[in-house]
Amino acid sequence: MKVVPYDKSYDLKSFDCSELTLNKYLTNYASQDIKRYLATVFLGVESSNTQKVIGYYTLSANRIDISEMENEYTKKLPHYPYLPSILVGRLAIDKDYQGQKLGEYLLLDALNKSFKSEIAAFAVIVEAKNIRAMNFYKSFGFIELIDSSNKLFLPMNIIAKLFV
Amino acid sequence: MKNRKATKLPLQNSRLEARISPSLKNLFVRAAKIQGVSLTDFIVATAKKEAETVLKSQSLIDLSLRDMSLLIETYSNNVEPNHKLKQAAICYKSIKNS
Repeated sequence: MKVVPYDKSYDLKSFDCSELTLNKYLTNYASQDIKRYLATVFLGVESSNTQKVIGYYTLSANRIDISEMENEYTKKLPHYPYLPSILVGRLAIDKDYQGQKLGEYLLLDALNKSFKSEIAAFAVIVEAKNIRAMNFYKSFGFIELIDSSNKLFLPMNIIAKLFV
Repeated sequence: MKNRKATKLPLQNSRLEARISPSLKNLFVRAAKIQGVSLTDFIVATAKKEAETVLKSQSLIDLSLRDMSLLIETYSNNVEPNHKLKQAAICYKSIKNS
């Protein structure tokens, strides 16, 4: 599998990860998000020249509001009311390709891109659409937010240790 | 706005109609009465608030205080990635560079 930027010439329509909203996103909404600079979309495709889409993920820039934090917590950080973060909003693998650690590969690709990005981010945040996704991210050490449903994070200083 | 005249944008009001069940309408009317505003004002103000929240949440992650602490503490502890993540990274790099 290789990872390429979203490209309409791939067979987006036959992508099926069993989660309808994630299938629909790829065919109906991904290109709009890209045009509006709301998210970038990367496709996992066969290394040989087929049009098959194995999986995909999205990245977008976010900020985390920490303005209400007490100073004693934030003294190790610059006095910014917001921390920059990167959101992996969606990550999906076609059902015919599940169980081959390809989701793991896409996740690592997303972390690598986030780390290598010329835009700094304090943490990578992921959104888990279901229990399975939640457990998937937790197994890699992502930490579940208590009050922000379905979101998990990993600080960049931990991610950095994987790629330096 | 150069084009405003040409495109004849309505400058004052535009209409919005919605079909809703009588019981839902009754609920809105009762709530509006309590706040002492008209039904229209109530619906517009409520929808506006919700729309702003949705748009804001596109790019802003609002955390509770304990989630902020969790984030900052995890960062400060600066732990090693877990075994599975380390293995995944080794695997990723070897495939990518091959």
